[in-house]
Amino acid sequence: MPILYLDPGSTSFVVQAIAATALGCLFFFKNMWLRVKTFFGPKQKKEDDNNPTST
Amino acid sequence: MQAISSSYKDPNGFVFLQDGIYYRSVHSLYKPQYMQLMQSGLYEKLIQKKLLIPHEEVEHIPLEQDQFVILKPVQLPLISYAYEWSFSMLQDAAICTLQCALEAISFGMILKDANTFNIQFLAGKPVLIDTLSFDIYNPKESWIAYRQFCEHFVAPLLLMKYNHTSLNKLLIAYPNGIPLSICASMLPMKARLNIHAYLHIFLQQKISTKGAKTNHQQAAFSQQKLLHLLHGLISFIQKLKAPNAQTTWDNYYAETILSKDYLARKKEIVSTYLQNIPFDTLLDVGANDGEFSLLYQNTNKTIIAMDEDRNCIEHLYQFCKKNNVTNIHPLIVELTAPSPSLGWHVNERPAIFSRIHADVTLALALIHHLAIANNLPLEKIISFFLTLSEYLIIEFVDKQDPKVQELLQHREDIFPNYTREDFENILRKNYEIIQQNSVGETLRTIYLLKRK
Repeated sequence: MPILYLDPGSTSFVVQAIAATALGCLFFFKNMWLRVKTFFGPKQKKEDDNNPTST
Repeated sequence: MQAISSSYKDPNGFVFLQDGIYYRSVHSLYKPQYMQLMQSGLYEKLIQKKLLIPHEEVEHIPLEQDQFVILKPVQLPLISYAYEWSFSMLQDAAICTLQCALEAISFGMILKDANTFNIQFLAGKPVLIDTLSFDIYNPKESWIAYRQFCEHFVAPLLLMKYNHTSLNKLLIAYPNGIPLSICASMLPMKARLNIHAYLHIFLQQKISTKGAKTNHQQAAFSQQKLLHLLHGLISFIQKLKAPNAQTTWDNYYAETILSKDYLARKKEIVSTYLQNIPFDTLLDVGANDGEFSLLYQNTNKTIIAMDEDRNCIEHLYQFCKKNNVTNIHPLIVELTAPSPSLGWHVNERPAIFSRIHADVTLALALIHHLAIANNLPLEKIISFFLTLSEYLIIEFVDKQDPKVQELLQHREDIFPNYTREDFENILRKNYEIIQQNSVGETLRTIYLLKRK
C-alpha cells in the first residue's frame, strides 16, 4: 500500500537520481559504441548523431 | 473578474472570461518569475519554436489589488483533452512538455507543471497554454513535475503501447494522472524489460510504495542529471510506436463496396451545400479519416473532425501533421459515450459537446449506426443534432441499403419507424429543409437543414 502523508518530493528525488544516473550511463555507452563504429566502420558518411547529451 | 472553473490550483494567477475572451491574470507574487520568463529570452525562444501560446499584455482592464499584469493569450478555437487524443497526439504533447522543460533550463527556469490539460493544439501543433508554469531554476533540485509527467504522459502512453490504444480513456477515471501502481499492475511483463518503462514506472512505484529513507543533504541533484533525465525521456517517447491494430473503419472509403462515383457525388453535394451557408466552424461527426473535413483544409474555417475509430483519427492527425494542415482538429469521440464533465464539482473539465460551438454539423453515413446498431430512436438523434449547430447536413440511409441490411443480418428488425417518411416528418418539426439530394443510384439522401 502506498504510504500516505509521505513527502512525494523525497521519493521522486531518489527515483530521479537513479534514473538520471542510469540514463547517463546509457548515453555514455551509446556514445562509446558510436565512436567504435565510426572508427572501424566505412567512412563514407557521418553517423547520424542522435546522442542527446551532445547538445 | 471570476476565475473559470478549472483555474483554481495556482496561487500565481488565474484564467477568466470577459466579453467572450479568455485572459490570464498574473499575481504580484509571480512578478520575479514572469519578468525572468519575458526578459531572459525564454519567451521568445518558446514562441519561435511554437512550444508556448503567444500572449500580449493588456491595459484596458484595470488591475485589482495584488494583480501584476493581465495577459491576453491567442484564443484557442477548441479545447480538447488527452482522453480524446490519438497515440501520436499524446506523444507529441509529451514531447512539447519536455522541450519546454529543456528550453527553460537554458534560461535559468524550470517547468513546474507537466499535466496534459496544460497542452492544447493550436494550428495543428501542441503548445503549452499555462504561461505561469515556469519557476526559477535551482540546479540542486530535481524536477518537481517529474512524477506528474509520468502519471499524465508516460503511464497512458505505455498502456496504449503495451495493452490497448484506447487506454488513454483511463484518464477520464483518473484526470489527475494514472496512478503508477495502477499502470504497473496493468503493464505486461515485457514492459519491465524496457529500461525506460522500468525506471519511470516500476522503479518509481516501488520506491514510492516503500518510502525513501533519505535526507536531502545526502546528495544534491545537478543540472547534468536533469538534462540526462529529460533527454532520456525525449528519446524514449520519440521512439514509442503504437501497435498497428486494424480497426473496423480502417480504409472504409478505400475498401468500401460503395463506389468512387458515390464518394465523388457526395463530395459534390456537400461542397455545394456548404458554399450556400455562412459558417466559421464545421463539426464533422463520424468523420472517418477526414475525407470530407479535408475538403476545407487550410482554409480560414475551423474544422472539428470526430470519430470513435482511433485509427482513423490517428491517420487524419498524421496526414495533417505531414501536410501542415493547420485548421483541422481530429478528436476521438464516441457519440454513444462522449467525454463527460469531470473534476471538482463536476465542472472542472467540461463535457466535449459543451466545448464545441459549431455553425454547421456534418453527419454523413452515420444515422443507421445510431438508429439500427444502437437502437436510438430517430427523435432522439435529431434532438441531439439540434443542440449542436444552426445548420445540419445529414445523410439518410434507407433500410434497403446494403449497409443497413448488413447491420440487420443478425438481429431482428425492431425498427418499423426507421423510414424516410418518418425521418422527414421529424425533420420538418425542427428544421427547415433547404435542399435535399439523393446520392447517385444509391438509396441514400442528403439534406441541408436549418434549425427553426
